[in-house]
Amino acid sequence: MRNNCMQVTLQSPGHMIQLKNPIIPASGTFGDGSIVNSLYDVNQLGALLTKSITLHPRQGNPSPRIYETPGGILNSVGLENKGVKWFLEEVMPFVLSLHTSKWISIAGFTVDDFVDLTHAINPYEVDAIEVNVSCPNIHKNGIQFCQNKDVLQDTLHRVRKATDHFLIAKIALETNSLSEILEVIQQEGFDAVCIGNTIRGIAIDPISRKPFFRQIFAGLSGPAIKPIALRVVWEAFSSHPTLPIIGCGGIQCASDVIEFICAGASAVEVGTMNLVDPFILPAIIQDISTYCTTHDVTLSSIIGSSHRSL
Amino acid sequence: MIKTNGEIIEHRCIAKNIFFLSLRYAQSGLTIQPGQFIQLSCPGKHSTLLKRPFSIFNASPDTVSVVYKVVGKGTTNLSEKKVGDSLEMLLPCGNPFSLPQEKGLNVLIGGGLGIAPLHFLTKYYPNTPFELWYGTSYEEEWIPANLFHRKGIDLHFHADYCNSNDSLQFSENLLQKYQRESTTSPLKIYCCGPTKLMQNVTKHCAEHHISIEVSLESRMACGFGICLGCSFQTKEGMKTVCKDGPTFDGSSVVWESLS
Repeated sequence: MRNNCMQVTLQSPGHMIQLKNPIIPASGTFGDGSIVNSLYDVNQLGALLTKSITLHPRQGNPSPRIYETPGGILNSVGLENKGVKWFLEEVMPFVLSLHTSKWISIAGFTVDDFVDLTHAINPYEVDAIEVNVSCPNIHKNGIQFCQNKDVLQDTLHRVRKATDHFLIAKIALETNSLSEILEVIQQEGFDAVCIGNTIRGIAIDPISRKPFFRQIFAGLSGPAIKPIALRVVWEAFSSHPTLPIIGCGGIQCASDVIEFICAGASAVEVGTMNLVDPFILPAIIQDISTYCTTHDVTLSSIIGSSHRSL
Repeated sequence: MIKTNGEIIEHRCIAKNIFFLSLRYAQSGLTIQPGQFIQLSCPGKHSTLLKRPFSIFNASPDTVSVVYKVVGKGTTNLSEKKVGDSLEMLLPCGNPFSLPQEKGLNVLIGGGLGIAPLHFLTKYYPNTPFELWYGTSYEEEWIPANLFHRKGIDLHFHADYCNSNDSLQFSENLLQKYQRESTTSPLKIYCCGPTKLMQNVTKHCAEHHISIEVSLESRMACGFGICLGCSFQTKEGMKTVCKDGPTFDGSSVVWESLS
């Protein structure tokens, strides 16, 4: 088997990114990468994706922030971060020192937030910016940016104008019209879509009989949501086969990765399992390599392959 | 911090719903210090995904032990494990207590299972004298006294100072007593237990200008600082219990941010 059997390419009309393997840590489950880099060399990963940064520092939500569910967790962290100014001074030097693909996640609460963040990141030699449009828009009653076609279009259009970097739109799994959203993403010159983010859930304390989280709703992630994320990736590849897809949701092992790739993802983000086992990503990469050898395939040859077998 | 498998070499119930668990692991050469904790997988009939954090009760070069109370699915699963079973764990996590004073009085105040890291402190520094205060809310949850005995420990059992009102009065009386007794030598307090106990002891330490170190407990997911599930406010900004702590200068904690 060739050494580059795990190599994948994210190709859009305007850009191309080659990854040595499809494994990327999902934003918010890996910090800025430096803690994990003390456990193993994060340059092994297909790309490093940093925790979402916002324009201004955020304390995040009050505790409790974590609730375990069967096969998953609810989180209500609330995008705690120290803001983009701190990020550029304290984190960016570490990111730029890496020799794997370097991706930055940005999160905004207004369209201007996204544009300002993009301008701030634009001068740096990173490989991609992931735009977290599954955040609530405070100017539209908290509705996620990706749930309103016009708002999404405006956001993506203005971000695209602000940079020539490779741009990824990270959308929610719960979308009103997936096909319409993907159409906007391609029309506005974004290079890839990440499908998806956590799913809103709730937990109730049976003793107090009140919602467990102060914010009432929280984001469900982990193996419990994998079939849903896989279904959305499948649908996206069916309707928009030329748009590179990064699958994200509940991946915990190499066979899960293969499922996402066969459904149409060119790469994947692994989230919750980093919290369970900080060493899991190199193990998954190793197992994928074994899979390619055992089955004598390259990953790039099996992207979307499940659709062809119908 | 490493990931390794620990084989259960001892596991017994030592009080109502409270268990002592000791694991042996192959990887040696680790330095494990009092105040640090382990993240332990708890597989079993109840579905669990995350590892659970446990203060270290004692450790040797190839063993680590914890005491835990059965409170939920993870600890229920754990309580059903047998000697010889293997559990995945991350260790050591977090930061240790600072060194006890060589000259002066070191007072340990433990509430409930908050006694665990303080017990390890007494074992780790076998020649340091300590005054150890230990209380629980319920008599049936007392950990057997013989686990604590060693030369140089002045052990005080004090029932029922873990609830909010009693801990306030207890900590006030205690610190007044120590301040009277230790006017010529410095006093250092280590405290671990219910949040209200630590908050009240810290309050009275501040009034008497006594240094205090606390070991905090929190729900957490990762245990090593990447998920921010255990973030809380300090006077120096947001900190994580797992990575920045769990040991903190008590005076730096914004107690109201800990639910």
